[in-house]
Amino acid sequence: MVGLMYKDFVAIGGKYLVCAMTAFLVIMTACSFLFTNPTTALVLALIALTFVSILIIWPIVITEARILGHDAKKKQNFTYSLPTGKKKFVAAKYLFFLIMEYGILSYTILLMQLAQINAQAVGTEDLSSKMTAVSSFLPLFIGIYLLNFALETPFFLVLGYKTGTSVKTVLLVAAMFALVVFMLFGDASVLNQFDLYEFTQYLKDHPVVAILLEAVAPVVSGGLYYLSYRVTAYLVQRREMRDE
Amino acid sequence: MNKKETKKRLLIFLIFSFALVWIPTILYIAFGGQYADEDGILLPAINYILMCSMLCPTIAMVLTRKITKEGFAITGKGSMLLGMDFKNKKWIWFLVALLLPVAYRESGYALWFAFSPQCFDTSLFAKSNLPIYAAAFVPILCIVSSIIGSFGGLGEEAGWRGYMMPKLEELFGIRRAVIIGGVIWGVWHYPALYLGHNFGTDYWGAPWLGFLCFTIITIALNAMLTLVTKKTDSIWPAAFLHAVNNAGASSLGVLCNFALAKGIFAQTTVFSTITFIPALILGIIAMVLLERDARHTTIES
Repeated sequence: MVGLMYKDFVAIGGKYLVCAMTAFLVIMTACSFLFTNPTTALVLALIALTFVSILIIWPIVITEARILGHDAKKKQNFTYSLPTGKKKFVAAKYLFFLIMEYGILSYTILLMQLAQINAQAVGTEDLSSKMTAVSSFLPLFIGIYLLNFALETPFFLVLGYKTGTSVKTVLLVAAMFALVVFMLFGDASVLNQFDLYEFTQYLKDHPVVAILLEAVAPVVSGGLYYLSYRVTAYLVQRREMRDE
Repeated sequence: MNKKETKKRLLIFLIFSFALVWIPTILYIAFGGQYADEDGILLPAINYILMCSMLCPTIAMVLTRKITKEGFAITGKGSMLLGMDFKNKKWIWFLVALLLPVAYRESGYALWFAFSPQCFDTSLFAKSNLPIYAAAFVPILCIVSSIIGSFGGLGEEAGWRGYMMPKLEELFGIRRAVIIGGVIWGVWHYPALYLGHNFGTDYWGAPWLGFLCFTIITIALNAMLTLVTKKTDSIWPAAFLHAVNNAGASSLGVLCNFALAKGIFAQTTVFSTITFIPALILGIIAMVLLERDARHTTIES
């Protein structure tokens, strides 16, 4: 299973990614010590945020193509015939994505903390508190990506990459079509009831709900992720080898 | 394994671990660096040193493995213990690792309130505009956030429990290994303690009494951390336990106003010692369990 995960690590260009992340961290650290004024702190914070945004989006970009994309049927049949078996093959996918997300989350938290300490060092308390606020949203993004992976992986592994992509495209197009029809012919005034500002205010007025969401959401995401793995492993094991 | 080789590797690891942390911290102290400002807020430089220190044992482990050509096996004997296995009831020890800090923290604060009841102060928590019953959610919040942000705990545990402790056990046996390992871990923190980490600087017998108290705590924690590591053959439970411990997961803890303590109880070392008594007891239990497992292993082999 470790071998399968290493294969995915190589497929996503893991070595280059780790080198880039390490180099960026070293450069950020050096700049923090060399340039100690509010303007530089702001520039460093913006650069860190940009890099964090790229890292956050990276899993979406490479997941389908590199981690789940066994384009040729022959490749997948070969992988299923390995001694590790189908269940470990599926487990390796889920575990690798989880480890990748954990690594990205840990790194982005570290980066944000560095930017926050740097901002604090030059006296820009406002920027420092903004960095702290950004850090608190990072687990939410990771939880969303885990859920996304949990939802789409069964399609890709059970139906195959091409069929899975087709099914996903059909579902997305159908959802978009339904939305357009609703906006054209439906009662759009319903949407007025969903006010993000009011929701934010509600959370501010009921902080216990916010705390519960913060505590429970990762647990629910984790539970759904594991459930997705069990379902996918079960379905993949039941499948016959696909015809070439 | 060759004991001479083990000693050499351990020495190299310790040199790296201590150098990476002691040198910058001592230089910081030498250049007049302080721990916190007048409002008690940590200064950026010490914040940075503490943040980087968390990762230094792992960096030391990687460097040592590279230099001594020990390899980077993920699982198995002599490995980095990075695997995660829940079979054969090992999942129980993962749960123990998450809940143990909550148990000893809560009972520690309960014991503290028995000695210093005036420190129980709900007004401090009320300033956060949260209802009082929200304090009950602090442990679960700490556990969840500790798992998500456990890379700090992993940064230390990969070095201490993942590399140092197996080598100490091979050289000295489990009981002495736990004590020696705890002492080493405690001494590693001394420059930060000298600056004011954990106990501040304004207490009787500073910094030596602080050093002593902290070392006793680290020996007890080392026993617990080593136990969960050996039970699961993984450093992940230890990383989680370490992270949850550092998060201070305690409902009673957020209702404790130390500023209201009087007399001898206003000493930070006394406060830490009393609140850690349950952890000390659990550390002794962990040591007994470790010795029992070691005896069983010896009999079987």
